[in-house]
Amino acid sequence: MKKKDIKVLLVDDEVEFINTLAQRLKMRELLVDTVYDGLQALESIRKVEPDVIVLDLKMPGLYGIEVLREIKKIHREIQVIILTGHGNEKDEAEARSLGGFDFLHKPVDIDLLVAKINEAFQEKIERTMTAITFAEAGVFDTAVKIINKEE
Amino acid sequence: MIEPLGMSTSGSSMNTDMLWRISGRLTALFVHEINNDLATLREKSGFADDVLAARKISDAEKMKHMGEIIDSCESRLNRAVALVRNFSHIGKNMGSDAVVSDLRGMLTALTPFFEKIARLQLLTVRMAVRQTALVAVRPYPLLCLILALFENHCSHSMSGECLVVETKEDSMTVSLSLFVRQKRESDKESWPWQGTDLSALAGTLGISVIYSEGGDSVSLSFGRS
Repeated sequence: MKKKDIKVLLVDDEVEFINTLAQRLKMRELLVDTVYDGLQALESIRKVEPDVIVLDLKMPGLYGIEVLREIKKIHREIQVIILTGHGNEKDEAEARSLGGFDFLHKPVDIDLLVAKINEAFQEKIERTMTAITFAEAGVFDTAVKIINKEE
Repeated sequence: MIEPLGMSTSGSSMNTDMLWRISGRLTALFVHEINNDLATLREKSGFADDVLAARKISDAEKMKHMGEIIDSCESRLNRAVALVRNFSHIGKNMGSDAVVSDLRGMLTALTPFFEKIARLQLLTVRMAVRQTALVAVRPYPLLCLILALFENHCSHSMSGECLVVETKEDSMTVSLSLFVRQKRESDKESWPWQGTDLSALAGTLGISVIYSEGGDSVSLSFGRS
């Protein structure tokens, strides 16, 4: 699978930062979209389901942790990487308990971010393929648990 | 009713724990803002490297991109420099007793933090601060008090509202008001005011905090220095 098949949604109210990051990720052959707060993110994923979301915490309106909680309610399988200049250990623990894939701090090295996005995408694909295998064998409960990261 | 933070109910002294909490909050706000600028500068610098290394971009396009990147880096650097300069203004005379302080400078230093706090709660801020407001106060407790009052006011406001920070003065007093939207002068007369004496906070000169019973405005008054 080519990198261009990976759909990434960037969510951050720091417009200049996120637009520049989007340009850099596009130059690395990722399909990138940007929104500037949590509510826009939730609207966006109802229209187009990204593979990976890179999510800030401190944003107008909804706090990033709440956004993550809502994302997981809508599409459990979307991988979410927190990228924040604000987060503390409590936020990190909460994000991970809600199914967040990773927790990174700003400023971030672009190669590290791209590697994490690829890793998150690969994990999503592997999880989906395993779930399909179980579903084809008629073991639907296990398939659902795998998608929900309960197994 | 808005209960102003950072002072006892009798209004005679500032609670030390509260002072530490607010000063920690102020530092965290500063660090967060500076980190945002640094993160953006780092992305811009990385983008410049990417553009220069890209084979598919023509030299003319590269030049155009580089011009834009340099402009935006400059503007971001200026913002960071202003933030540091204003924050160092906050640091001056912090441990001192009552001194003549530039209220406008203090409010200018706080403006990016006001804007950030308001934006996170989907509010906007309008600063209407006059040039000549010099007051004799202990600057650090006053600054913490203003920040606490502003945060308290934000938490009592509704999304979309505009908070106004305004200074006014006459021959005897300088006043700082925080209120939701611009009110007409005629309305002001009918507001039910309550006052809290903060003369201990102010040192040698009087200062009072006044807030309306409806909780929609709060005002600090200082004796002119």
